[in-house]
Amino acid sequence: MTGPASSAALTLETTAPLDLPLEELLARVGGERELLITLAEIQKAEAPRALEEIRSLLDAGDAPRLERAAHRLVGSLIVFGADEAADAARSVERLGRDGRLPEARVAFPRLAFELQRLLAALDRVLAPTRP
Amino acid sequence: VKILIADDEPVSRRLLEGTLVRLGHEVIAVEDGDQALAALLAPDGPRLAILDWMMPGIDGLDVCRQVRQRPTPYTYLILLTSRDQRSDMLEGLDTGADDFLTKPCDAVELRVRLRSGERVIALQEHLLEAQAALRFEACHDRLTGLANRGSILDQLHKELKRARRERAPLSVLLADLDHFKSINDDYGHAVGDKVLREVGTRMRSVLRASDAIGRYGGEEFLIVLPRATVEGAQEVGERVRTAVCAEPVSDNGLVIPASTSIGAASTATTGFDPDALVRAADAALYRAKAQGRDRVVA
Repeated sequence: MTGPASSAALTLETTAPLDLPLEELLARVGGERELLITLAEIQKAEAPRALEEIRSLLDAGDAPRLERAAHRLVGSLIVFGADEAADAARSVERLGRDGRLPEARVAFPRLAFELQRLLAALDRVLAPTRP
Repeated sequence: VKILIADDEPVSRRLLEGTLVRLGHEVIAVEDGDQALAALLAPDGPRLAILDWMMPGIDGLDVCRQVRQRPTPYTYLILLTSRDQRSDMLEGLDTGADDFLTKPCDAVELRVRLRSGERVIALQEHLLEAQAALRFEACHDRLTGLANRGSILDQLHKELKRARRERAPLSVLLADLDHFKSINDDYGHAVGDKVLREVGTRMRSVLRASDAIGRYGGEEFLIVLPRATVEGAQEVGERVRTAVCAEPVSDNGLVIPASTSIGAASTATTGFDPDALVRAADAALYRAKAQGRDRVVA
């Protein structure tokens, strides 16, 4: 059996980069660019950890905790208007709630891919601020 | 306003915190329900809270339930929900939530919700203040600010029960202002009132915190002395008498001499019956008057 993430056929090279709705995001933080940068930095640190946790829970077959972990991730993704990533996380959350772990494992690669797209987009948000 | 945010997801938490600080609020941000509950139940804790529905440990609903077990002060509770939890809002209301916010929070919507919350808290504070004022008025004498007759007798009953339980003595003093009718006749009732207020203050000032004093009748004061023997009561009575006559009461250039006669009685002679105790103090007061006033008699 293959691991949940190993079947990812999607690659960043063959997919259009994610464009974050920057104006909307700036409005959400009241025009405070510094706050937006802080949020992006938190997300860059947290998202890989969240993904790893979800992968472990899928491996362990722990549906209730999977639901909670995916729900938590959704909360951070919608802040950035990352709709595709949020949808992918919601699917995993819903499948976890219903105890449909095999389907959740199938849904995982899309979540992993969308998170990669988001992290790349966040890098572009942060780029002008880096020396 | 001091606002608590409880959310285990750090991006949303930081966004909410930043927004609230920008709106001029003081923010306490925590990451689980246990910390939220501890902060909300602490003395002087925040009166307004924004709680994520789903959190590790106790969730937002449990925090609402537990906060609502404490009737006052009222805490306004807003639950954070995601789009697919909206159908559960009634459950949220049943647990004690006041309102809801959908993630990610829109700043305008947030301000609207907070405005409602602040209004409810202000209304509740006014209500509590009005209740406290009514309670105070119901058991205090408006002129002297001391306990009124009903309240000092209630305290006497309560202390007598305790004294009986603990097999401890208890004494009372009944103090009557000397020649008060003449003060009213000679200087008018406004000056008489001033003398009563001043005498009440002087009497209170020489008592222990555990003693109780109330205006028993027109110019009569009843003082309850828990754990005092009749000898102890006489000593306190002497302090009270001296405090009253130490210097005349002044009012707009008028100088009015004041003195008081005091009757003391103790449970050692009357037992723990409040009526018998007050009657004995009244009889002693009568003797003090008959012996020439301005004295303490047991």
